[in-house]
Amino acid sequence: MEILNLNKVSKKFKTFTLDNINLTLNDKDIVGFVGENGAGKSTTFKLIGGLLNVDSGDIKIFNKSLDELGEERENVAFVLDELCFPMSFKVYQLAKVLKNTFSNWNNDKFDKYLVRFNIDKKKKIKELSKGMKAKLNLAIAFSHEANLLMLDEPMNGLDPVARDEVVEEIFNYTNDRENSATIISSHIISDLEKLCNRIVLIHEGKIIIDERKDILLNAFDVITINKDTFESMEKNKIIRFRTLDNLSFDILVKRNEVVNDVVKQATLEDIVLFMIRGKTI
Amino acid sequence: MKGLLTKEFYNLRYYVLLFLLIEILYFVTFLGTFIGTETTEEINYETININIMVTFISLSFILFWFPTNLITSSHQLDARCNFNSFILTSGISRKKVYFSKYVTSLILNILPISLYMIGIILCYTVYPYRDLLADNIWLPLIFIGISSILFMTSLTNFFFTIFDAIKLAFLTLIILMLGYAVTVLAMVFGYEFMMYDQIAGILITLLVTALLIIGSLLFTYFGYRLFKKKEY
Repeated sequence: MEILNLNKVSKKFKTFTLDNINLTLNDKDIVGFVGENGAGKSTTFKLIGGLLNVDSGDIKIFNKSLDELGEERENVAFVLDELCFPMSFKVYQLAKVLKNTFSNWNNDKFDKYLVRFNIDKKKKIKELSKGMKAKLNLAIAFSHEANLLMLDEPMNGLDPVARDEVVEEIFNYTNDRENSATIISSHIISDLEKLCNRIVLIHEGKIIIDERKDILLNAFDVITINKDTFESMEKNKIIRFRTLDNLSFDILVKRNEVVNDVVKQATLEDIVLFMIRGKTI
Repeated sequence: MKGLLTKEFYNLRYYVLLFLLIEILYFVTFLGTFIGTETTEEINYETININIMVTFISLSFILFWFPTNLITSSHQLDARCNFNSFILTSGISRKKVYFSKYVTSLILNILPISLYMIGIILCYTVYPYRDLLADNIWLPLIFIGISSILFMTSLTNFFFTIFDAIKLAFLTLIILMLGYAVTVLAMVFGYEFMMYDQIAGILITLLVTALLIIGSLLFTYFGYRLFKKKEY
């Protein structure tokens, strides 16, 4: 079953266009949504959440359009990049609001997450640190039995230990449920590499990579060569190149296509950097 | 809707407590106007009526103004934390979000309206020569007062849909103050007409009430249409 489907979705702003986005999430997909700042990640999330209006194309969640979804939208948990609650609220007061908002709200689960994330129920939201607020946001997302998690930079402000904990939690949450998927945007590529089974790279409003992680990680090599070797190299083998001083060149090539002493298998971070900041011949 | 009203409760509870305190103080002061009053026909009719009129007008201004003004505070508190971004992604329809402010306004106004009605009944109890059913001087104050609650709520909702709540709070406050001034003037006019020409007074009351209701419906309709398309 398709959990989420974006079909030729476009949205135009004055200085930016999200252009012809096609994206499908199936059962058990955990998609890492990566791109530089301003690439269109949050815009895509907001379009899915109904906070922005689509100019063209359509969006379906559980095979229903956003208008048809109605209260089934509860089945989607959004974590936006900030905690959108009045800062004067105490955590237990927030829980009461959420209990009355979501029909599937699981208060026991929420309490369990609060304990696990070490969040004091009696504290006001404004008294929580940035990391605590991020954890609270996630605790809310995990506590209303949603089948689709839309996580926009949920790891902001989390220390490495907390991030590791959250990565594990997201993985277990998605895999333990039927007809469940997650899409997560983050700048911390190492977390996505651990967690996700698919990577979608968006750049300047367009999706340029949408591939399974295992395929992607076996697809490219990075080679460091000098200027002479670069100039004598077959240009059609160079997917992207980067150089700081025009003397030494890092190039992205297809796996095992170029034999060289200084070859390393491209990591996810390498691929993202080359695709966004690398140049083509 | 329950979640939205719970949020409003937690957001506004301290303001409501303050308002209740003002209500109680005002009501006690109002009752104090009856101390020492003789309920005989020898009392100057004009003086008593002016006392009642002034008390009611100023009482209604505070009673109806403060709770409806809390809706402004509610919008600002929501805007400060971008609450609508969360609630609209949570399965709550835009219709419920928009009309929750009306429900909140209604709930906030139940107490002052009730106290207001008790005040009117008390007036007629103290002055038994006045016939509650025949005497229509309370009509403008009730009809215009209550329809003005609806009007001010729809006006507030409309302006906070089209304007940024935080940047334009001052402008919206000015508009609200003007709105209240107009409704209070209408009440005074209606009351004055009632004193001297009941038919004219009733007609003016009904006219102003109708205008306020039509205004409310228009602001509600256009406000909601804009809100449906609003982007966050």
